[in-house]
Amino acid sequence: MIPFDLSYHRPDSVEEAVATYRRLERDGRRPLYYGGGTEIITMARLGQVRTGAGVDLKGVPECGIVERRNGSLLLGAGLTLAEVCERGGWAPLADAAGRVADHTSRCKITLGGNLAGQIPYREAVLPLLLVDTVAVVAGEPGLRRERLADVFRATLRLPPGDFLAQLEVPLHEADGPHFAVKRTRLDWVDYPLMTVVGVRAGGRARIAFSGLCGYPFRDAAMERDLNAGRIQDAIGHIPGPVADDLHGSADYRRHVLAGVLQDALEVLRA
Amino acid sequence: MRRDELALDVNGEACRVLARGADTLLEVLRGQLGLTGAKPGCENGDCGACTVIVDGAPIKSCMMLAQEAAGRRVRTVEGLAGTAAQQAFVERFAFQCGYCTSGFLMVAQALCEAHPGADEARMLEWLRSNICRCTGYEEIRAAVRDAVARAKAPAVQGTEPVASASRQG
Amino acid sequence: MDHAVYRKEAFEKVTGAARYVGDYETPGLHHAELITSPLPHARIRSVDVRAAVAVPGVRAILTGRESAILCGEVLEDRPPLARGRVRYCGEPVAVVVADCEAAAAEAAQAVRVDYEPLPPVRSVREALAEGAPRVHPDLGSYRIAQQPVAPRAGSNVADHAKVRRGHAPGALAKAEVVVEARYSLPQVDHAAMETRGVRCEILPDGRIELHTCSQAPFEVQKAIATYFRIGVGSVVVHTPLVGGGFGGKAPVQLEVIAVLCAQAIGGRPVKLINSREQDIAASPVGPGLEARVRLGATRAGRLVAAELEYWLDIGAYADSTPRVARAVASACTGPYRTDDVWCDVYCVYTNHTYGTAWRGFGHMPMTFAIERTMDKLAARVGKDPAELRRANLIGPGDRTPTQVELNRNLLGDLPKCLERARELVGWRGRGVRGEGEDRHVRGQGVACFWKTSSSPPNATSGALITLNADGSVNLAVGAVETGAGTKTTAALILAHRLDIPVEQVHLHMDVNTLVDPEHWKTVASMATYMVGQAVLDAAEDAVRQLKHMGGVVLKCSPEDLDVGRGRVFLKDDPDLYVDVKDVAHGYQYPDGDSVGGQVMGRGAYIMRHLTLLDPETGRGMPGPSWTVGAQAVEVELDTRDFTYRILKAVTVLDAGRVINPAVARGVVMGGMSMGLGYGSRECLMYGDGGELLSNQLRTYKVMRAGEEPEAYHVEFVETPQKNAPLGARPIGEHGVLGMPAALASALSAAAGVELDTVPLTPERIWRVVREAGR
Repeated sequence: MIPFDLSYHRPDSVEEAVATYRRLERDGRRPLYYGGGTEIITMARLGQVRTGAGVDLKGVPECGIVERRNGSLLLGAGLTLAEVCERGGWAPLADAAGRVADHTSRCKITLGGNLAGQIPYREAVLPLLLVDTVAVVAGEPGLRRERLADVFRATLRLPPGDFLAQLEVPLHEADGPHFAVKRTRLDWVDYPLMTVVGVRAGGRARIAFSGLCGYPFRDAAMERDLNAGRIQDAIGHIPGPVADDLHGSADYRRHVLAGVLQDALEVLRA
Repeated sequence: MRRDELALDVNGEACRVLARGADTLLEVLRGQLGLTGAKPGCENGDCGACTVIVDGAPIKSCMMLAQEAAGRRVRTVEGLAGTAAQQAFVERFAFQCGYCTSGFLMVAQALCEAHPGADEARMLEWLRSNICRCTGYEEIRAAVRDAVARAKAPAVQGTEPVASASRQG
Repeated sequence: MDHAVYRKEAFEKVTGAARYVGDYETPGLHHAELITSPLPHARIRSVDVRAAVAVPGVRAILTGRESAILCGEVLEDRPPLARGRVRYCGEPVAVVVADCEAAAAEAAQAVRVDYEPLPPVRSVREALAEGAPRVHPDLGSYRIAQQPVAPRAGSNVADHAKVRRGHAPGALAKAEVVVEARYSLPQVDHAAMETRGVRCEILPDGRIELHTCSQAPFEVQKAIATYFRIGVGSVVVHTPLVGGGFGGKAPVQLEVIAVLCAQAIGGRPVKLINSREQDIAASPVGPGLEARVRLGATRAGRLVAAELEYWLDIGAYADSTPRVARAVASACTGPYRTDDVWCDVYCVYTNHTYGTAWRGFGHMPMTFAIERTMDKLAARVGKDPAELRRANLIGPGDRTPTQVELNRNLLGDLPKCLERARELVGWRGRGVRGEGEDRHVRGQGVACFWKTSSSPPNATSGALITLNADGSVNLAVGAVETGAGTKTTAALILAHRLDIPVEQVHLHMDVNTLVDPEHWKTVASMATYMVGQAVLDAAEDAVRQLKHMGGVVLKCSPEDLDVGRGRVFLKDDPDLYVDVKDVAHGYQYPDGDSVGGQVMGRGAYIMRHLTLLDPETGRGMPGPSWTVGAQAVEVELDTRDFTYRILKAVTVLDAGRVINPAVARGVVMGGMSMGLGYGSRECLMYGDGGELLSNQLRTYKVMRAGEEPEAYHVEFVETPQKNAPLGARPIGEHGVLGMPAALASALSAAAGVELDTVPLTPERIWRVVREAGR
């Protein structure tokens, strides 16, 4: 049971959501935007997060959208990962999002929640980092467009009171086969040792990683190495300390990564 | 402690409960409505014993605030009666202690409704959401296989959701 | 009997109607919430409850200072709430009682405990090291609740059990071949899907009413009576359906705290349910095991001597582990013939979560140590591992380590089990298949097991039968329904004896110590054996009464009559009969005059000819029979990253007689799944500071769908045990016993290295392979 109370708010427009958040913040309620809520509920029960109010974004129409236009895919951040898999229609994203937690949990976890969460894996962002995804951000003046790469650096970095409303994915950029693999300590349902997602775009492989370091990333030097077929060099260019935890040691992660990259290149360079 | 009245639609019946904003759907179903078929096994979204169906989707009720369920159709194991899934679980000896059973049944029921005739891969992906500590899973998988096959009756065909369009990239 | 019979409670369980202890909620029921230690070892400087008391709805906050009780099934070493110091991460330090769960949860967060950290004992090795911190400085002063136990004051050794048969050291010195190996196996959680929980109320006359999901309601009753100094009859324990036990619900823990809580609020009802985190960290787990195994053999591979040392990591408190130690001692060699056996089993305190019974009562890790060593012996003498085992299997005429001479009744047919297991797995020995271009190789492993009950020599069970006016039968037994189908099996045994359909046997799924006959504990796979005997005894009693009434009605001697199919009939002329329903509640003559009364059968059973093990030699009779079996596993290993699939898992065990085949198979498969879980992924993980890292099902991983073997093969050999009900041998725990060993053996064969611990994660295999330089 959550050992403190919170109020629940379900605005039905972008403006109302932002206004509600600001009002609650002014009242000292330390509000949180609430997507699927799974992380907030679990952490609140354990006393790892304390909030006086949740502002649920699932009632905001813009957050529930799935649309294709001009070769781009527009996805509401309030879609559940299960909806993203079933209705999103982009295989790299379906494959990455489709391995987060378990199926029932994916009926609750939202796309925005996965990207904005504190749990460091945020696997759904990986395919989005491989193309020039636009983040549609809601804030005081309404919706605005930003490059995802600018607002998502390891974590989603938005000013307080703003929230991620939509993602616009230029599908045409990725014009070849894709690769997506999640590896765990052993179990199918577990946090990743690593999740690796790649696409081919303009004849080159683009690859993003989660689980390897404490945050998801795509790294230019690693991609250069990989496109040249230099797997060991790429591993040497991992941009941060390799995770070393109860899921797996850094050594083992590097070992597994070599095999995964070999498989990835077979698909992406074919 | 403040508890507000909340209207819920549970098993097709309009219910009124008193809940804190922080109360989960699981806590309200059990503590206020006496619907104790959904079980707390971890309250952390890991075990699936508390699974219910909300607007057709399986949901771990420990991971949903009761207030989130307002305006949505909630179904619990108590709302199932004579389903193919229940019958198959009995016939296949798909439980021992029974504590995880409601959760597995609700996953099976949601699967039967959303994907009648679901293939083995989808069935497995849905079942991985739950934990059973007593059986070796063979019996549960056999029961769900039976239930899903029985669900693929002509009456429900054509309700296959938009789902199948996915994964073609 | 030989066709599948649904569990009596099956329809309750698929409709949500089945009620477990946490499923009751009434106005006025208070809630208790534990505050547990975040540190493995520390002195408690102070507990500040001021902020917590201020939370509206809080009725009481208790710490260890409020009670002088020390608990323990064998050795009374454990305060129900930590007193002065904490000895493990998760140890209950205080408890909040409030008028609702939300207030209890809020107040629990507000309790501030000031700790002074002490150096933790993080392993058996550290516990036994010179100058190790003492987990129990007062070890010498604890009261012994149940002999035998041999605590060693001034050390971290809570107990030492011995087997001395022949002259193992001398025999080993003379042996042509000696293999020696060491093993270190982690603690294991029960992870029953229902966490442990209890409700308690104290009535105005002082009677304590407990509702608890216990495997041992009658033990709870006696323990509470002892700790709170009241008559046993003034404690009433109710146990509804239990959501899985596996040994974890045999100990008494939360019940004591719940009584303290109820006392603190004037006897009003209170509910205390573990969160999953508490259930893993605060309530007891399965002990870890360190082992040193030395086997001596002839060059041909015949075992001649065994010198065995086992150290159980019992964590912070002893609980039932001294009994586990004796169970391990009595089976210490595995099911193999050895004349000279020396074995020492130690219970070692550490600052880990404390240990208790876990499915198999210590036999699973012990079997791992023995079976892996048998593989090494096979390699040493150049024999096929299955063949080496076959040649050394213990049999009728041989003696067990505790010097029991075996016969076919005491011991099932192990050679037959092993032979069939080999067939089912398609045994190829240590040969691997599939090397070459393909990265995937297949390996197989085999393991044998045996286990007896190691129950107290005076363990009892009872049954009461009452007849309904329609001739159907009510059956009351004291065994708990934890999922193994015990109640249904009892009904089947009675239906068989009375020759009526099982639908005509009615029984309640709960246990109530006030009205149900005592059953020792629903553990040790013994429920069917003990309850079954009591049921048969009660049936005899009822049949005798029915025959007596039949004799009155049919004007003949009761000896001329038999009972079956709802009739009391003449043996030599079955067409002459009276319906059971017409004599069940007495017989009424046509003129209204009546004789007799309700037929009620009583049955009782007590263990026969069991003895405590001799403290010096171990000599003694630990159980009524040994269930034996053989298991095998085939895996396919990816030699690039050492992930693997379990292709086949085989169990063949001698069940004596299978009573309800689908249920029996299910229980064995469930055990196999659990054993494979321990072999592959489960363990309590501790950090460098001794802190528990795996206290959720996110970090304490258990098998999920899709991770089970691609094929389970479960078969039963049937060598009836004459003194068991219908000849049925105990089978409840056994599926688990050899699985981790067989898995490790198969993976060792595939990887070409010796894998001597669990869990065998791909990383662990990779590490061993890398260190071996392969």
